[in-house]
Amino acid sequence: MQELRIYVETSVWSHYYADDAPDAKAKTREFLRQCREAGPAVELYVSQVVLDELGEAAEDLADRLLHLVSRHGALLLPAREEVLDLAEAYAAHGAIPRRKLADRTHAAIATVNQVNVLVSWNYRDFVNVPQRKKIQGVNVLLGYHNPIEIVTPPEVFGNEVQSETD
Amino acid sequence: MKCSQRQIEVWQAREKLDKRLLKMTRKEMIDYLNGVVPRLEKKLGRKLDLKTARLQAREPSNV
Repeated sequence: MQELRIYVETSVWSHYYADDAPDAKAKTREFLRQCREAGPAVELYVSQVVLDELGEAAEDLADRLLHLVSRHGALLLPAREEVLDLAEAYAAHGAIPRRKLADRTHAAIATVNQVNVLVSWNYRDFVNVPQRKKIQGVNVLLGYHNPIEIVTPPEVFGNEVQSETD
Repeated sequence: MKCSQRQIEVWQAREKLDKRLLKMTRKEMIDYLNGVVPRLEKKLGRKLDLKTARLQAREPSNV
């Protein structure tokens, strides 16, 4: 399998412990299990924004979520000026509202750092056809021609969910 | 589709973070994104065992 670089957005980590969303929880756990099984063929990434959003959960949950991120060996993506330029371009071209700087930063830091896949459960802001087109359009406009796939966890590997207790 | 409580909490956390980020200068934003999560470590009372990726950031190619 070709190496996959996956940016795991906050909503995915969060659903690992989402008891009120058993389907998304099971699919999240299956996705992370598949990532672990894939070994070096899959690299997981987060940003400071992901960590901060997870850190806003209630103390015990925040601790478990951040431990989950480190347990999966997710690497923190670095940022430089290009990330801010691209985040600004998303607002300037109407792809992501200006007030949603965290969303703009998720997409920009993943794109600039050559991530292949942005995985999210956030259908409202990321995982929908118009939004994918808008983000991809701005990326191409600014010279980032390699597409970044924006998908939900089960779409990454496309396999059936297996049960996992953790 | 009904949203989970966790998704709602993520959106609330994001709105709170947006307010903080929108007040930052570019330099503050870069420093923040490249930081070593001291605020979180203080909250958790322990070090976060995370490494920074060494990817070569992609330069835009305006062709």
